[in-house]
Amino acid sequence: MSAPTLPETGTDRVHVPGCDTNCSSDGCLVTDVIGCVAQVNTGLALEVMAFAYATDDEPTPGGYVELFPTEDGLVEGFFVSPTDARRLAAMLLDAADQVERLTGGAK
Amino acid sequence: MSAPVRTRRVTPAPMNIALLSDAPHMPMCPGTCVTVEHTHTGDGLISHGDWWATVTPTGTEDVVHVRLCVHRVSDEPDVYVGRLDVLDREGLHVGQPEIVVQGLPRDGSAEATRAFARLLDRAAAVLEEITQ
Repeated sequence: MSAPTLPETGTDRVHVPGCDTNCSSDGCLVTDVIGCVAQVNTGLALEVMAFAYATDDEPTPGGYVELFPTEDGLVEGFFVSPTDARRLAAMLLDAADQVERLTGGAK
Repeated sequence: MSAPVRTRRVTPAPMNIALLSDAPHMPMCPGTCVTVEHTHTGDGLISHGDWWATVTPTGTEDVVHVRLCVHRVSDEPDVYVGRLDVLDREGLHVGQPEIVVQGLPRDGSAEATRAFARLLDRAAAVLEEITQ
C-alpha cells in the first residue's frame, strides 16, 4: 500500500511574486536587499530591505521595509552625511515601491 | 646640610569658559543649548549622549566643557541636525554639524517609509543650509 499523499502546503495560497512556491506552511517570504549606506563615524552600514510575505493564516501578501545595521546589535540612532541621507531616502523610496510591487499593492 | 629640594607644582591653566559660552551657536540653533562639564580619564575621549568627541589626551583626568547645538527636523521619529562644540585647555573646538536620526518609523509600511524618506531629504537640505 502506498503512503498517503500529504497535502502540499502553500498551494492554496496566493504566493508573493518571486516566491519559489516550495515554501512551507509557515508562509513564503521574499527578501530584497535594496542597498546600504555607511554611517558617519561608526563605519557601520545601514541596510535597506524590502520584505514580502504570505502565510496560510494571512493569505493576502503583506510587506514591509526594514532598515537595520549590517552588524549585530540594533542601532537606536545613527549619523548620516547629507549625501548619504539623500541616498538613503532614495533607497527607502525604492524599497516602498518594491514592497508594493511584491504585494500587489496599488501605487 | 643640603638645601631642601623644592618641587614645583604645575597648575593646569584655567579654561576660559566664555570662549564656549560666548561662541556663536550653530546656524539655525534656537540658542537654548546649555554648556555641560565632562571629565575624561586622560584618554581625550568624550562621550556626550550619542556623540563622541576627541580632544588632545592629557594622560591624567581632565575636565572639558561641551555644548550641543540642535536644530530639530522632526519629533517622531526624532531627527535633528546637531553640532558638538568642545572647550579644552587648548581652546575651543567647533564641531562639524551632522544629521542624527533617533529611532525609525513605527511601521515599515510603504507610506511610512516614504514619509521617512522625505524626512531624510529635509534633514539633508537643513544641513546644507547650515553649512553654506
